[in-house]
Amino acid sequence: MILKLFYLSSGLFMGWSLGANDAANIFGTAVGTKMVRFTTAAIISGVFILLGALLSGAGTTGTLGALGAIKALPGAFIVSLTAALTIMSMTKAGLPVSTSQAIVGSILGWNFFAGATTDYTVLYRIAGAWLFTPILAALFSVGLYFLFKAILENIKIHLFSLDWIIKLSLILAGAFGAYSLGMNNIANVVGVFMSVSPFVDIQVGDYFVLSSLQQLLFFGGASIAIGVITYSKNVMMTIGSGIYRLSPVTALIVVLSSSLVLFLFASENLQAGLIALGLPAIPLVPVSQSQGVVGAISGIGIAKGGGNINTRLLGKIVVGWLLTPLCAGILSYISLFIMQNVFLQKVFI
Amino acid sequence: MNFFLTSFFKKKMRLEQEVEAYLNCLAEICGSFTLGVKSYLEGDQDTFRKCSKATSQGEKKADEILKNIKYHLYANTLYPDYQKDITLIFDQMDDVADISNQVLIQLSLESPYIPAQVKELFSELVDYSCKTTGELVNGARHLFHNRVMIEDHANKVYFYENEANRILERILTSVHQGDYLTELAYKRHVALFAIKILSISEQAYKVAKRLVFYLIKSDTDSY
Amino acid sequence: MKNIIQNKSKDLQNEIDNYLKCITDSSLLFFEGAREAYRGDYDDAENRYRDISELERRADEHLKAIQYKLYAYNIAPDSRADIFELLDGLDDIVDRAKKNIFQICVEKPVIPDCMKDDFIAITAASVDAVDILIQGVRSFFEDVNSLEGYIKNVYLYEKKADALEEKIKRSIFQSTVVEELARKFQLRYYVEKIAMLSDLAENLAKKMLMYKIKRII
Repeated sequence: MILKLFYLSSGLFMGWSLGANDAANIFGTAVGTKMVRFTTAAIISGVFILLGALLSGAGTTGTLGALGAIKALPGAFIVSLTAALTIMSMTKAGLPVSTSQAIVGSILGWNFFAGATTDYTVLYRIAGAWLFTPILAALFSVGLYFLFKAILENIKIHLFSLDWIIKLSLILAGAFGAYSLGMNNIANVVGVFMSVSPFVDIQVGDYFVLSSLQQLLFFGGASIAIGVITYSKNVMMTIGSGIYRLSPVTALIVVLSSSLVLFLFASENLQAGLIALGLPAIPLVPVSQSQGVVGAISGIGIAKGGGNINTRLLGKIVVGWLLTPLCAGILSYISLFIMQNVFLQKVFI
Repeated sequence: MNFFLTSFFKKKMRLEQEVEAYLNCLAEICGSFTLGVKSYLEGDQDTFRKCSKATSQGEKKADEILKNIKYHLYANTLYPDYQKDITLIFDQMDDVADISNQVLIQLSLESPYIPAQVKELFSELVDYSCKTTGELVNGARHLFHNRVMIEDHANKVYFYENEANRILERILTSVHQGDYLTELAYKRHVALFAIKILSISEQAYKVAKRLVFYLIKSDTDSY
Repeated sequence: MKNIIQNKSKDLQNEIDNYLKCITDSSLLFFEGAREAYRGDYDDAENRYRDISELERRADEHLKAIQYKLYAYNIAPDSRADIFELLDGLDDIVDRAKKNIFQICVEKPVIPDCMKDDFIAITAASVDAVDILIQGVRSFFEDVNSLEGYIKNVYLYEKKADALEEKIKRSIFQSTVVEELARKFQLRYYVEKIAMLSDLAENLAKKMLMYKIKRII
């Protein structure tokens, strides 16, 4: 069991770093401008990330499972570890990377190493979702910007009452953002372990079964929550966060827009509803929240008249789309080779 | 990484040293100003001239140090969020030194007749001006560390400025309603010098308020 | 979290309302006191001075409470420095009004009869500028879209005060009504100090406009 948990640790580490870095995108401005205390933000983030992962994380997790069904625990360990290492080195190099892109690259590396067939339909859906994330976030933020502007220009409300409403909205939006992050990005944390979960189903009472997938989602969600609570304060308080410098209202728009995108790409109920209505279904794909934030900020820039669009950053994101999965894939391939031939561990069955 | 951190801390320390030097300079100006005015009131022209010279030199030295402070602040991008506030605080503090110098220069040029009936009050007014400057300097010493002390010193500045105002009122009442000065021109001459000396406290009061604004803006309550 | 669930802003709003009332009352008392002084009723003017001093003391207490509550209730943290700077600036106006009344009561300047109406007019213009400014400050909190109208009016009254200042100074120095140079300087000094009230109001109005722009999303 200890060995199994050791293999799971790479995913949990991925979850911890996701929580440490991405929580700043949800509550960065609210905490940075002192609208919300860090403790409040951390607790809300932790609880809702866990809920999102547990209640709605199965969809995106299933998509990654469909891309590459890793049936050996050492293989899953390597895939998760190489994704995490890729993220670390890309971040150091100053590229805004996505956990999703790294894990997909690592999975593809495993597919090539194990000789497994890659489902290119799933891959194209995933790539399409990455492309649409900043675009959709920008569209949402443009719409929300004009809506908020119209409301604020036409209501007569005391400055302090408005401040209170914005604070409450930031908390609610933050809760929604945390839930969306949990439901969408849990796949990056535990998706590769889906086929080799070290847990067994637990019978609780006569009618309730805690499945191994649910346990996996729980531990994954918990690792993200712990990352938020233990390390995200530094990130929230520094200028590193993409939304740190925004005003509270603009930050609210950005959080809502990026969270809506994550929600769209993770909600099984929404997908089922669209299918029932005969409409094209939105694929359930883990997407990058940071890139959604960049898209949303750009959207506000466009709404304000076209300035403030950080084309350099957008360019870096495009480079990241190509470079991240490639680097992760190569590193995964090499590491799998070492794991199999040096440490004599079976990385595929 | 270590190299950059060390370099950054060295730059910050350098700035803090310059600020300390500036504040010491201001405290010296305050001391020589007080002695200068009191010497004038006592008729000790020698000491008055020496103090005037010292104040003038101190004011020039303060200007030089202030240039260095601004240079270190902007060239090394220290305290980027508060550069404007810090610069404004020191510019306004510089006005305290300028006004002190101007008062002594005007005393030297115009040689106003200060009646014996208000000399004691003038001496008190100068003492309060010195106290407001002193508390202001003490408050500004906490600009970068232990900032909670700023408000304590600011409150003292407000208090001493209020006291200085009371002394001014007594001077003006005495000068205008007493019978020892008959000509309006003389009354106004004395009154204007009293108002000018008070303006040192008023300027210190303005800077103290700016320090408090800076504190509000940059507060880092624990969360 | 408690601060968010319980909306404590009402408490702070009341504090600000009371503070603004003190400022308004001070400016009105200043006008009455100044008018009485121009008429030669210095005893009544001194009573006004004492009333203004009391209002100033109360205003200071309200201002301290406002500063505390802005912090303690964590209200509008992104704009509280601006709010406090704006409200604190109003304190300078009361201070100036108090000093003006005091100096008039103590120095008892002799204002020629032909200039009394102009002195009353410049005092009224300055006080009106302050009054409109206070209305603008209320608008800043409650209806920011109407702020610009108030600011324009402050500028108008300040210009009116400037024009009257110039007129009075010309009368003082170019006519023979006031002969003694010291008296000319004295009257000029008072006119400048009275007009200063409208200048302070204009400066604050400009700051308010800047704060309004910062609030645009």
